[in-house]
Amino acid sequence: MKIQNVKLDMVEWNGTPWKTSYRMVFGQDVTLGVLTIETDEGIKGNAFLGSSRLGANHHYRGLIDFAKPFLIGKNPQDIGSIWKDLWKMNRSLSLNVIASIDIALWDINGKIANQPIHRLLGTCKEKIPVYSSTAFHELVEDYVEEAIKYKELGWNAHKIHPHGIPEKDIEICQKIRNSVGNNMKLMLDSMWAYDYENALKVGRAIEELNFYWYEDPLVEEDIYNYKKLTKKLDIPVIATEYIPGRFYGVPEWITQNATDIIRGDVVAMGGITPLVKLAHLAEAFNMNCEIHSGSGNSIDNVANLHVILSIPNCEFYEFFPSTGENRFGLIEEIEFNKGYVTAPTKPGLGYEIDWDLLNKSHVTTIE
Amino acid sequence: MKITNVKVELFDWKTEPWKTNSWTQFGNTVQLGVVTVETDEGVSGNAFLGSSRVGADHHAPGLIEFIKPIVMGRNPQDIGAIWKDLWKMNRSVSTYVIGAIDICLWDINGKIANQPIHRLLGTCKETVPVYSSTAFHETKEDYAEEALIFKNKGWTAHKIHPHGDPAYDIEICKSVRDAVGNDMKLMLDSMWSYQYEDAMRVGRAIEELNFYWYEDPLVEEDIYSYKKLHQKLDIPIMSTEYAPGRLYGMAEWITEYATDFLRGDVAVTGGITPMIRLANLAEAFNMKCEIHHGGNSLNNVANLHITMAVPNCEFFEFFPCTGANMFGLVEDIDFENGYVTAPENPGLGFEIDWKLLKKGHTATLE
Repeated sequence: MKIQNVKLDMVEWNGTPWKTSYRMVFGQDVTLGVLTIETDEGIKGNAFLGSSRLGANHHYRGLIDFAKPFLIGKNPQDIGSIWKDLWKMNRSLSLNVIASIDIALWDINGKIANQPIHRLLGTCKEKIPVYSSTAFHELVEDYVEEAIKYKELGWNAHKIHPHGIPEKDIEICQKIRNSVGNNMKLMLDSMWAYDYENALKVGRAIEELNFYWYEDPLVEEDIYNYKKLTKKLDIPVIATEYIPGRFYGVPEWITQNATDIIRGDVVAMGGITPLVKLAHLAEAFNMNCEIHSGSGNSIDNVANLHVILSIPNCEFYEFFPSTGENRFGLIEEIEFNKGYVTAPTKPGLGYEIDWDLLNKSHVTTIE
Repeated sequence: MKITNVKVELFDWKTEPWKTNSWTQFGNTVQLGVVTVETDEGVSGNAFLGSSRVGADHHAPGLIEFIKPIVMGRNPQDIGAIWKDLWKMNRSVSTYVIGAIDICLWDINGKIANQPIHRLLGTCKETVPVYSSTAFHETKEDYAEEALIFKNKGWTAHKIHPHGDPAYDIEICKSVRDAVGNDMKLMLDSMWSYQYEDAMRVGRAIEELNFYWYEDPLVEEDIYSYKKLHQKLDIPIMSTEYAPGRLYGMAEWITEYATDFLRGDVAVTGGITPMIRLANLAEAFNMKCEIHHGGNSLNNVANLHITMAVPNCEFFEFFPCTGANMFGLVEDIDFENGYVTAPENPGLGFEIDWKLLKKGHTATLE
């Protein structure tokens, strides 16, 4: 089997803007790319390119100029070797592009096998709890209200994206803990906002509040202070999908004891292939690898889900119930039943693209 | 889909005796086990149990008594979940048993998908070079002669299992290097036989002889001296499939800089599932994970699938000794021209020679 064509359909993706911090806006009007990899035997694989923050128009040139000529004529089932070569092109291609190609190849592989992707990789579980991951809210009260809402829906874990101001962030955490009681697992994702001294202060405060993990307190380049922080704090530190070097950068974080839990997603790592490797790396150290969500689109979420179910060491599925939810372009989306997601059962990615909807806002096809 | 039965059939496996050192005997007549995992949808998976050193009769009772009750009724495609439960049984059953069940499940998974197993895992290559791995020979001349056979066949790499006597081992290495010249890659596998001081002496000697790797110079429990050795030597050290804890023990070997390459196989590491993880662990550190031979024909096939599915294994190991551990398949792995190629048939993709096996059937355990 050979790859015959690689094309990108660009469609408008109009959302309602939402933020994860003061300055990070998601969900504006962006361009979503629908990647199709065609083979000489009729089977096709798809992936989406772009997020509601950074549309496909930021990425497509590398895909068409550099990746496509490399892919044409290759066996789409040689996923491991193709990924390795794409990875070496990461100075010319964004990881979003590498990821979307890898996902489309896994989609093809699953369709050939007539199996969902997690089955190809040796399923570890068929059901996983979800945590609600907040957007940015102006008011402390809004954070509290949102947490209570999910508690009442029966969800048992909730993650806060605060303001990035240490005092204020502690206040948000305190008020939420007070309102949801002690049974809900609470996590804080400070989104690389503090320096070491403040990170320690906030860390001690949320230890007092019985938080479950402390995510991304420091910038991702600062392994030196992550090491100090991880040494001091009892609460598990989890950092980060943006480690420089990604999969190949994580070993240093492990050997330096700079984090307790590993973090990654299909977009940040560059596909299903490296994300599975990342989880296996963590597993060899008896560490969890919590799969991140929110840096991509609906198909990225589906790809993450397949990985989560095929590895033994991811506890949660992350879900952004914020406006837009990064969801667009599928006929049916991932369902959250009583705070759980279940394993996809259809071949490949297993979620159908809503071409009728997408064709309404079709902008151009790039080949 | 549900697992409805697990059985082990035992067969006589007769080969000429051969040794890897003066006291470890392989061959003779041992029991080969064929494990079958059956499902309610008719698809079944197979693996071989036992090596020509330790037959299946050493392992089968634990498989039936402890493992069968755990897997009965489960979905055979929940491979990761089942492996996790099997691993926790490793105080009661051998890793050979855990490996055999895991291989059966991957065989089923490949058959369901109508794909060879390496395809399920994202193929990295479709051909790799083989190295010939020697048996024990009485004299250094015999070692040189054997090496020449493979050199003349065009093979490019050759591994020596010497006597475990430091001075004579150096003699053997010199004699083989002299015979084959400088173009053939040579490796030394000292099979855990030296103490630190001798390991250093042999290591320096084979550095001089331009050897490619230095395998298992020290006992597998001695991470302390491995670390010292690794600090000193330039030649890559490779240890070991028998590291305590297997997959879960290797983290310490990496962080302590006790080895340059990782090592494992489906029988000793306990299946395809942990082998993929082991290779991925090595890959994260830009290390190789060289896969060790599997002790029987179907284990070698399982190893071959892993070799093709990972980016960081350079060679396939082959024992051309008497019997070559090859028994029980209609067609075995082909080593033409010193290369192996990726299997193309669904599942493990090599047919069991039931006709041959049934001539020596001794028991069926269910």
